[in-house]
Amino acid sequence: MAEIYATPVHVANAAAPGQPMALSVHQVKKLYGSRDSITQALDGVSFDVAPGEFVGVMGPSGSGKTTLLNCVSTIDKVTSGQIMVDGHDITSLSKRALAKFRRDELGFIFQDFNLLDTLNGMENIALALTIKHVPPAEVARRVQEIAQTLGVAEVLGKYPSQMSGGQKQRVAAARAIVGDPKLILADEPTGALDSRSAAVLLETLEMMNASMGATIMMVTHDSYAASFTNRVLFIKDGRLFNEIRRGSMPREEFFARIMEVVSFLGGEVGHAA
Amino acid sequence: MLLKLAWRNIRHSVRDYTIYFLTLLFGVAVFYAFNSVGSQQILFDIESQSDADMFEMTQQFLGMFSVLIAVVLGFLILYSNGFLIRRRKREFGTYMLLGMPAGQVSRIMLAETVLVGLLSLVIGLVLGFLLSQGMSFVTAALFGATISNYQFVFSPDALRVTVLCFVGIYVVVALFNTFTVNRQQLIDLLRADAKNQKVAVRNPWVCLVGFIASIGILAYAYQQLIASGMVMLDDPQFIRATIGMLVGTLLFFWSLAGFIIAVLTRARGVYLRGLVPFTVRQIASRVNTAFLSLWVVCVMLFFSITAFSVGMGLVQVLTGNIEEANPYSATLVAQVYNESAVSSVRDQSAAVDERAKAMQAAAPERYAQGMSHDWDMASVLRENAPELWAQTVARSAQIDTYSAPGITYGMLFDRVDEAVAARIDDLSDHVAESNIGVVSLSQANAVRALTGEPALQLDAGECIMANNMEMTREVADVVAAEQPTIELMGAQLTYRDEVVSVQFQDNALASTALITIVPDDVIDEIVVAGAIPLQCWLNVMYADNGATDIANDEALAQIVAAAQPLDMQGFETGYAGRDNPYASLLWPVTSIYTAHEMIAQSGGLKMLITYLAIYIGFIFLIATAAVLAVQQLSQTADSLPRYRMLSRIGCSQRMLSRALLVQVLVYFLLPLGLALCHVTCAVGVLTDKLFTAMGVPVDGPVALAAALVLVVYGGYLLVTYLTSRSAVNGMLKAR
Repeated sequence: MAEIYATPVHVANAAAPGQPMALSVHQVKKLYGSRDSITQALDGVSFDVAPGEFVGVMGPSGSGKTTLLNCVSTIDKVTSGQIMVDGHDITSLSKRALAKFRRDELGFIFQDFNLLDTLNGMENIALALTIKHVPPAEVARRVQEIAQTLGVAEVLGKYPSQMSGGQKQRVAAARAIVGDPKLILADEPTGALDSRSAAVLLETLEMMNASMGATIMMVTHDSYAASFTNRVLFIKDGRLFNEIRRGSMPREEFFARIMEVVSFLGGEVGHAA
Repeated sequence: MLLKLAWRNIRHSVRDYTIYFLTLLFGVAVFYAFNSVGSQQILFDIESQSDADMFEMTQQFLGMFSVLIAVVLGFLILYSNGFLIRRRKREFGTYMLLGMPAGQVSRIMLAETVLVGLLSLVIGLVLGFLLSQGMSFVTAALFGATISNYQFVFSPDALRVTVLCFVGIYVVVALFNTFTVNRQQLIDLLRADAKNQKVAVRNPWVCLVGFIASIGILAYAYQQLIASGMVMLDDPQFIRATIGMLVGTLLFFWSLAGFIIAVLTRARGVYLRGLVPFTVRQIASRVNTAFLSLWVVCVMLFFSITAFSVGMGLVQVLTGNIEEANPYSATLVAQVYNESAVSSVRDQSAAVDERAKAMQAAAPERYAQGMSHDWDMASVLRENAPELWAQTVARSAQIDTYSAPGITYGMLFDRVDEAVAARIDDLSDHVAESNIGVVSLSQANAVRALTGEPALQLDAGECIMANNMEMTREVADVVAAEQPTIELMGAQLTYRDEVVSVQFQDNALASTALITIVPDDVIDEIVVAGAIPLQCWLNVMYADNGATDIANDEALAQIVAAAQPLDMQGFETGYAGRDNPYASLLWPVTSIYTAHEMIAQSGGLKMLITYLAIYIGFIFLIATAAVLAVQQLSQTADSLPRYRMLSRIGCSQRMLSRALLVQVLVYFLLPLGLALCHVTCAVGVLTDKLFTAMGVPVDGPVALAAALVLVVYGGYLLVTYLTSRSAVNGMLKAR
């Protein structure tokens, strides 16, 4: 069984020649703690994400998937190895350059929405643009556009406390994509949503990927959520354990394949908090 | 174990405690220093009773205000303590979750309160002790004395009062804390972090109307204040201005945030830039939830800045040129006769001998005594104590003011200028109907000779205006410019085109007000016609006899007592008679003003007002600044997740720091700005009505007030910003 599921990861992907990978993770290691008690959160992880891909990352709790996301999002630093986004190494950037990098190249969707409760929907989305010093008139236009596309135009004037969880998360998604980032990072985006809202959000993400060309890397423990992606990477004990491509599979079949791996991993994935 | 835990807690939350602790420190230090003023007198030798009295009075006033100050500090400490507790609810919740009984948690709290209190009290007292040493030099300067034999002075009384007061406050704080912890449900304590602050959102249209209304009300209040002139505090215009100011300010803060948001969100070009939306919303939510405290802060700032600058201005008004106002060693005043104390200088009699007749009827003995000596004060005094007089007094000169029958100030000014005539009633009541005061040229010259001034010459048919009082300077100048002619006892007298500046007596102020110097023969005519003087001033210069001023003052009092023995209801005590026309039933001396006494009084008054102004100004300033600081720091702490989110989506630390700075600046400067508008209006009115009239420039006091605000308020602002910034940066570093 192990041989079937623990397939080596193909480094090469179907990117057009000459175009850099949206994300390229190479031999990344991350150690926590001091000399006495070392925890190896990531132990030589390598993979690529091509532009326009929608990649899911799954793994049991403690597998290192959140550490991986934090390293890619530059919130955390790797111990060794390289992370390239759009061909640029981000592991050697200064603090200020990192902030600029996050601002210009990344979009974020968090489990707990992370909208500013003092700002209304419009302002929350606009924030991603205003901090990039986009001209105000353009900000207003682009926010309107993206809100139409993602179906949150009617909550633009509302404060997060007046929105439903699904609306909040779609506003967060709008904020993540409005700045045209190279890569959108989603951390358990459906974690705090009921199943209906989760489905709507996942369809939104799928749409952002398919028709708007967004590259998305989503960390999740929910197999259903993962089944909306093009490819799922499984991480266990800090190592890449397996990957499944959806190809032309229908979503139901892809979902079944994911479930197989998950149950092989000990069913832990599905129950991980 | 408890103590250890408490100590560690304090060290951990040192950032939260900084402002709180500093404020306690300042409070204790200033409280001690001002309450110890009474002990400073041992520093330099006080020989005269008047100096000691002034000290006692200052001490009493400061003590009185200390009660107010203690209440303000008490509220401040309770308030900031409440904020600190709220910050730490989760921590208490954790203790309780681990099975610690609520009582023990309270005891940890108590231990913390006691530790912080004790520490601040001890360090504050040390600071206060040092401060009071510095203040003794200031006191000496205010008295115009130098400190010989400097030594450290410790005031047990001030220590007792300070300790008592602050221990009292800390006990209340401890009770409050225990109560807060005991009352809380565990779930609330644990969830304290997660509980979202409710965002207060007001209807923008209501805010718009409210804001415009508030501006209208404030404009009305200013207009009323200007109209009232701030002369009488129970003037209905003044009361309307006060109420308008309070209501307008409250409405201003209530509606401000909503108004700004309504305007800004429509001005997208300005609004949608960088962190502007975030910063604006942060401030707006702060202002919306804390509009009441902003209101209180603004009113307190207004009060303290006004009190401070007006107090400092008053010091100058009251004591500006005290040396010039007291050119003679002493002045003995004889209120010759008057029906009431007030009318003494505002005689309105029509006939020359009207007052003489009234005096003859009401006080025949006095009249006879005065007439028998030709109203010559020195002759009576010399007669009764010739040796002492010779020892004490080197030179003396008397000046008698007569009222010019039938010529009122109103008539004089009508002849000059209608505008001036309309103004004189502003100066004082009933001036227009009063007869003008005249003195003879020879007496005026004799008085001038005492201080070495050259003699004045008058041509035939000439008189001259004497004035050195600021309030009447303008009017006097107009008279000199217009040179009107008056008819007095059949003589035609035309005013010369100059004003003589001369002080006819020792007084708290330059006090010669619109006195006309006329040729001697005119006064002779008045006397022949049966007039008695309105007032007599005998100015004396002490002999160079080696005795101190204080000893000479004593000798002078003895000379007076010899002529007017106490048992014959004679002269009682130096200053007592000034408000009572019959302090002495005997002629001549009604009251004594000595230069030494006047200058000491003035020094004391200067000290009293200066200290009160600084004391109140400083405490109110730190109280308001500390409230703002605590609120702002608390908001920053509550907003840490927001800053984390902003950092995650790519805001640099610099952007975040700038957003913080703007928040702190706006939050501090908003109430200050409005308070300064109020101050400008109030001080402006006072400047017009009082300070300019008194010839006192207000730039000095205003600059002093500005410096105080800048240092104290600015200091708090800076510490608040730095503390907030380090909180945000620390959070980012911790990831």
